Amino acid sequence: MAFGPHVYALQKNNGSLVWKYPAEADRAINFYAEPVISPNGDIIAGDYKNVLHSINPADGTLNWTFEKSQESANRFVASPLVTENRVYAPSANGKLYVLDSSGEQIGEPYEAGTPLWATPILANDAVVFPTLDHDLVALDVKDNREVWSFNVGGAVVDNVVFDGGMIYLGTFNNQLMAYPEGSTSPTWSFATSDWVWSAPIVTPDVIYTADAKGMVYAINRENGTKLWEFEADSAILSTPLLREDVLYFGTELGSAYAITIEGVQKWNLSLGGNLYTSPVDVGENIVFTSMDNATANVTAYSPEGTIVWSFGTDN
Amino acid sequence: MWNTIVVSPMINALLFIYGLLGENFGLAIILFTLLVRLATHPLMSRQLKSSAALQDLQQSKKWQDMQKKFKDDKEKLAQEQMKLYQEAGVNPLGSCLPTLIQFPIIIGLYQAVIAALAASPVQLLNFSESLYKLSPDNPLYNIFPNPGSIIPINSQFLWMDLGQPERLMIPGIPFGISLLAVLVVITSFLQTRLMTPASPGGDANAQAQAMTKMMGLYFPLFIGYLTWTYAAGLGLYFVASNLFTIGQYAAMGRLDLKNILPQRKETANNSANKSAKNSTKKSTNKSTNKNGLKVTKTSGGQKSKSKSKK
Repeated sequence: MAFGPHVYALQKNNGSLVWKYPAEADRAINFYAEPVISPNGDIIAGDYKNVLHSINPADGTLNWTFEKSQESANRFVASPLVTENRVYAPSANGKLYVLDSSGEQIGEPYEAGTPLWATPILANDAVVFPTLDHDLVALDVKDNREVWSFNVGGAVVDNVVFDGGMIYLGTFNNQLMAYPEGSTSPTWSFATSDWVWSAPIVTPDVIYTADAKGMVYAINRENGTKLWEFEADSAILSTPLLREDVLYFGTELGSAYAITIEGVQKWNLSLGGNLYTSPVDVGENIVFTSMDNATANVTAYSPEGTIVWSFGTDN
Repeated sequence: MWNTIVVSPMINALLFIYGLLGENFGLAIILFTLLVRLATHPLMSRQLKSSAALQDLQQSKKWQDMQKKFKDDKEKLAQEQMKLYQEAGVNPLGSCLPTLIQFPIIIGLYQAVIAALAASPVQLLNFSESLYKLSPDNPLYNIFPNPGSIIPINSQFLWMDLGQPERLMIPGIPFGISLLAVLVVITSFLQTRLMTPASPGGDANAQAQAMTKMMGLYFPLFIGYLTWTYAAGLGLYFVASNLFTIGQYAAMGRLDLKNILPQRKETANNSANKSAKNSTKKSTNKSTNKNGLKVTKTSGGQKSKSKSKK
C-alpha cells in the first residue's frame, strides 16, 4: 500500500511491516495512487511529484525512477497499467507515458489535453482509458496511435471494465453505461443517484456499481435494469470487493459494509476516518484502510467482521 | 456555517453562470463580480452620501473653528467632534461598511474559485459536496442540470490559468511577469484616486491627508501582492471589481478626473498669499516706465504703451 511518503509492504497474515520505501521519509515524495505489481513482481508506484518508482518486492529497494513526467508540475493520481513489457502511466498533466520494463520511455507520450485519473485497460489490441474531460480513448498497442475517442457525457475518474466485447464505465453524469467495443453509442445506460466515482464490478449476469450518495446497485448486465439497491450511510468512492458472493465496501464516513449479492446486509462496522480505497482480498481476510489527515489504519477483518490484525502508518 | 452561507452559494452561482456563458470561467467571474457590485450598490450609495456629508461637515466653518479652539485639548476636541457629528446626523464609520462587506466576499470568492478548479480527487470530492444537485424529476432540473456534466471546470481564460498564480513569459526575460498584478495595482490606484475627495486644507487635516495618501498607495500594492501570490481568478475579480466600481461612481456623477494628478497642497497660508499676490498684481497694472510711457498690463500679461500727456 502507499500512503504519505512511503510504500509499505505488510505480511498479509498478521500485518507486520516487511519493508517501507523509501526507508527514511523524504518530504519531497508523497504517494496517492495505488501501487501495482508488475508481471515480474516489481512494485510500481507513482507519486504526487509526477515521478514513477519501481521497487524491488523482496527488500523495498529502488529499481528505477521515471522522472521525465516532471516536465510539467503535476501528479500521478491513477495506477499505471503494467503488462509483460510495457508500462502505461497516466498522469494528471494529461499525458499517457509508455515505458519499457526498465523504465525507459518509448516514443512520445500521448497527449489527452485533460487530466488522466484512471488506470488504462487492455481491450484486445487497444489500450483504453477515460479522461476527466468526458472522453473515452483507445490507443493501438503497437504504435500508441489513437484508434478512436468519443465523448461519454461526463467525467470518468476510475478505470473502465472491458469484458465480453463490452466496455462498462461510470460517470459524473450519474450514469453507468455499457458500450459495445468500437461503438460510440451505449447499448444501455443506468441512472444512478449521484456521481459514480468507482469502476463497476462485472460478473456474467450482474453488474454492481456504487455512487456518491452511498447507493449500491445490482444491474442486469444484459439490459441495464435495476435488480436491487442498497443504501449505505454516506458516499462510496471506491470499487467494492466481490468475494464469495459478498460485496465489501467502505464509505466516506468510515463505515465498512458487507452485503450479500442479494443486497442484504451481513455486517456494518464503524472504523472511523474515511474509507476512500477499495477493500483488498488477502486470502482468508479482507483488508480495509481508513484514513485521516495524518495516518492510515490498515485493518484485516474476517468474513464475519472480526478484527484479525491492524497496522498504522507513520504519522 | 461559513461554507453553507458564503462559499457554497458562491460556488453554485459561479457554476450556473459558467454553464450559461459557454463554460468560460473567466467571464463567469467577471459577471459574478458585476452582480455582486449591483447587489451592494445601495450600500455604496449610502457610503457616498455619508462621505459627502462628512466632508461638508469637516469643511464647515463651525468645524474649523472647533478644531482651532480645542487643538490643545484632545479630550474636549473628541467630545466636540462627536457633538457635531450628532448634530449633523453623520456617522464617521458609515463610509467603512461597504469596504468591510467586501472582505468576506473576497475571501469567499477566492475559496469558491479554488474549490471549483479542483486539481486532485480529494479537492474534487470536497467541491462536489458544496454543489446543489437536483434530481431529474425536479422541475428546476432543466435550469440547474447535474453539475457533474460540466466538471472539470475549464480554467483557461485568455492567457491565464485561473487556478494558478498568473505569469506571462516574455521572450528575453528569464522569469514570468504578472501582468494581472500590474493591472490590479493600476486599477486599484485609479479607483482610489478618482473617488477620494480632496481633503480640505488646514494643518488639522494634515494627518488625515497623510493617512489617505498612504492608503491610496499601499492598498493597491497590497492587493497587487495578493494577485501575484494567489490564483489568477482572484486577480481577475479585483480588476473587474475596480473597473465596475469606477463605472458606478461615474454613473452617479461622483467621479473627479482631476484627482488622478497630484494636487498642490492648498494650505490657509497659501490661500492668503495667493490673495495678496492677486491684489498686488492689480495695483501695479498701470505704471509709467522710465521713458514716461504709461505701461498697462492686460489680463493676458501683454503690455501696451501710450504716451503720457505732459
